[in-house]
This record gives sequence, structure tokens and C-alpha cells, in this order.
Amino acid sequence: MNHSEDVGQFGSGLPLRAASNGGTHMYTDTDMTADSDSDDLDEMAQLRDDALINALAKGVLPAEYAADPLASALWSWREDLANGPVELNPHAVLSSVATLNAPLAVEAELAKIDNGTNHAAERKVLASKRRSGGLARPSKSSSIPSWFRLPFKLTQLHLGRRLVLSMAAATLGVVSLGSVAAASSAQPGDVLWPLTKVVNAERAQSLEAREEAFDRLHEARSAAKQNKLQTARESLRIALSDAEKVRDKDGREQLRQQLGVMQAQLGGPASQTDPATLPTSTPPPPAPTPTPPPPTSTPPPPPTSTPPPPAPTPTPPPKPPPPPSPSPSSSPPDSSSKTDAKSHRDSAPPSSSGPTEASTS
Amino acid sequence: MYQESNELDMSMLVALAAKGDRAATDELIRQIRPMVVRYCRAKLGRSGSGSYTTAEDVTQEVCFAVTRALSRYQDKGKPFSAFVFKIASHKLADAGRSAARSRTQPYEQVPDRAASADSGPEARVLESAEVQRIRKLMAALPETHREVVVLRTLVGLSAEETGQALGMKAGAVRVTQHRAMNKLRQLYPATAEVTA
Repeated sequence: MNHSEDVGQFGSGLPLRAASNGGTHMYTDTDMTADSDSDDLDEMAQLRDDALINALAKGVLPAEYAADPLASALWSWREDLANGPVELNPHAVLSSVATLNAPLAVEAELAKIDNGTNHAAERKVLASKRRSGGLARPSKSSSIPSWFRLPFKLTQLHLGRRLVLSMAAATLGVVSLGSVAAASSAQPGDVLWPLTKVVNAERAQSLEAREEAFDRLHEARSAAKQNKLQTARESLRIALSDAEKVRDKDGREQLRQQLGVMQAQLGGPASQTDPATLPTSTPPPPAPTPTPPPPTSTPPPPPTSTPPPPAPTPTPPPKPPPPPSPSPSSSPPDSSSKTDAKSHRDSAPPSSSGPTEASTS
Repeated sequence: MYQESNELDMSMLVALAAKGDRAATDELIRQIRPMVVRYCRAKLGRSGSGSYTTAEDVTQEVCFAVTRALSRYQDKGKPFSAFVFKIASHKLADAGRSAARSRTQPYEQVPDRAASADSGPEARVLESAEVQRIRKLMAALPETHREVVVLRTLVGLSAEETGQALGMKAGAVRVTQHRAMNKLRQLYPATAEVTA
């Protein structure tokens, strides 16, 4: 039978190793009857075995017992019991000598096929172990008894690599999760702000708009302080449009309130003091009042009143007529009283400067 | 040694658990379970499918029985582990009896799945061969010797605890384990003759 043959192989190879290593104390009692008195009295040997067993009980194979097949077998057995899978005996692997070659080639190929993920080093270790232990024949692997199945065997090499990989993966996960979490609360200008733009574009847009709006508000304030009302108003307008892009929860109402205050401040004084703004906002009020009177009140007066007061009141009369004479409204009276308006013409030039004074006052 | 300090903690846990402290019971089972697992695995070996399922089942039963028996346990100076492994050996005897009645032979299904396992068949054959060999040698030992080696080496009980579990003195345990080791060493080179 295959099996007995294998065992025989092992048995024949073993004494050599045992004799070369630690033969001094491990085989003191060569008598087959283990109950002999000399055995019981050898306290040193007892203590050594006790120490060995204590070490093995903790899953440790002392280095000095590396070549002791019993110690290493007990160690392997305990590992097998504790973990299911067995780890290779590191000492035995180191002390192993290659003796068998022919069957190995086949097995190495088998192992390669079966186990693409295995590393060359690991295979080598297995191979040398195979040589030293020398129990299994390649033909046996096809009829492996059930108890050979080791569902999750890990060699030490594998274990270390997996550990490193899993730790790296865990670290990566924590870092990326953490930065995403941090990015979700980042503010414009933060290191993680670019990440926020990617992770939460909506929020990023809203916050940027808010920043922009506040910047514009500040611009508007400083411009207003320097009395540059035009630029202040322009800034405020941009700020208002930015504020519309801010989300409710990012403080849009608050922003609007501040902008509203600014708007009120700018709106009030600007309409009265800034001449540049007159054409846009204030022309309606003054224009209707002066222009309607001219057609109604001034045309009548010229024909009726101009003849009598020309000479006596050259200076006072210009006042009432001038107001009606902005450029468009002055032509009708002129055309109606061209002949007698010669004297008025003289007074008209001064009166033309008059209306500007009136409008400004 | 850690075994002693462990036992100290364990006696406190046992006292609490015996009074019905749920957390202490959990912790106690958590501490003894690995030892019971090794014990059951050592005694039962792998089941037909190559895994330790039978041993796991028995371990479960042992832990359950220990939990139920906690209220009966009284500290009479005997370590708790002795109590546990007495229960465990009873459960194992039960399992052995039921296994003897079982006629299942699931061997044939195995190789295909085994080939796709994590490491190559070569490694499995080698490692299991080593374990199988020591198992075979252990079978040649007298019952007491075997029990001492299992409890001391594989389960990890101290000589004192092992003695309590087996009704021996600690010194006798040390002598017995030494004899067992010597016997195993002698058997090693002679394995060929033994099995042939």
C-alpha cells in the first residue's frame, strides 16, 4: 500500500536527524518500557518535557526542539486544532534537505495549476517540506481522504501579506471617508474645498454665491462711504443677483436682509444728491411739472403779458417765463411772438441760465 | 504563568456567573470555548467532510451544558476547568456513541472541493499527514497518558488543572506526561513497523 510505504520512508529518514540534533537528552530512555524507574527519577528530563509542553500549550515550538519530530508534530497538531488549517513548521522547513525529486516535478505543476495565487517562495517551502516529511506520493493527492480538506489555510507569508493589504485598505477607507465627511463641511478657501465642489456641487455653488454676495456688499459699503454711489449701486445689484443663488439653509434670508438695509441706505440719499442719477430716476417728477405749465401758462402770458411789462420790468419778468422755456417748450412762444420778443431775446440768454438754477435749487 | 492568572479571573467569573450574571456567563464561555474546541477536535478529529463540524457541534453542546450546570457548580477548591472537562468528556462519550451508530461515509464527495481550496493539495496532504501520524501514535498510548498529553499540550491546562480533571496529583501528571513523551519518541522511528 502507498501509505505504509510512505511511513517507512519517513521512519528511515528520521533517526539521522534525531541523532544529529538534541540526541543527548531526548533519547535518554531508549528502553521500550516507559515505566522503568530510571525514567521516573530523571527529574531533569521531566522538567524539560514539562517546559516543552508548557511552550507547546501556548502554541510555541521552542527552537531547540526544531528537529524533534514529536515536538513539531504536537505543535502542528495543536495549530491544526486551534485554527483548523495548519501553518508550516518553520524550523522543519529550514532544516530540511532535498532527497526526492521525481515526484516533485509533477506535484509542483499541480500546485501551480491549483494555486495560481501562491507565491514561488511558498511553493518552494512546501516542496522542501514535502521532501523532508516525505509521506505523500503524488498519486495520493487524487484520493485525498476527507480530513485533508483545510478550508482556509494560510501560510505565514500569506497571512502577513493579507494583513498588510487589509490594513492598507482599511486606512484608505478611513481616510477617504473622513475626507468626504470633512469636505461636506468645508468652507470656500479650505484645503478640502475643491473636493466639496465635486462631492456636493450644489452646496459649493450656494456657498460660493454667498461669499461673492458678501464681497459685493462690502464693496458697495466702501464705495458708498467714498460717495461713489454709482459703483456702490452696481455692486449691490450684483450682490442681489448672487443672493438668489444661495440656498435657504445657507443663510439667504440673512443675506437678503443685509442687502435690503444697504439698498435702503443707498436708495434714499442717492436720488436727491447724485446728479448722474437724475436722468434715470428723478426726471419724471420735475419734468411733468415744468413742462405742462409752459404749454398752459406760458403761451398765454407771452401774448398777453409780454407787451405790457417789457420795459418796466426787464429783470423780474424773466423769472416766470424762463421756467417754461426749456429748449422744446421755448419754441412755441418764440414762434407766436417773434416780432415783439426781440427784447425778450435779450433777456432769454440770462433766463436760459435761470432754469438750471431753478431746477437745482 | 498566564494559566494561573487566567484561572484567578475565571474563578471570579464563575462566582458571578453562578449567581446568574449574564455578562459574566458570556465572558466565561468566551474564555473556555477555545480550550473546549481544541479538546473536542483532538478527541474527534475531522469529520467526513474534512472539517471539524462534529467537534464544533460537540463544543457547542459542551458550552451549553456548562452554562446550564453553572448553578450546580460549587467551588470546592477544584478548578473550574476540571468541571468543564468532565462535562466535555461526557459529551464526547455521547457523541462517540451516536457516531458509532451513524453509517454515513461521505468521503467520496470530497476531493473536487478540496482541490479548489486555498492552498494546493500538496500542502494539505503534507500537513495532515504529520497530524495524522501523531494521532496514530497517540492511539498507542494508554488512556491516561493520552488524556494528559491532550489536556496539557493541546488544551493548555496546567499540570494542576489536568490533575484535578483526571483525579491525579500535579506531580503524577508531570511524570505521566514525561512517560508519554518518551513513549511517543520511541514510537516515532518505529512507526513503520507499527502500521505495517
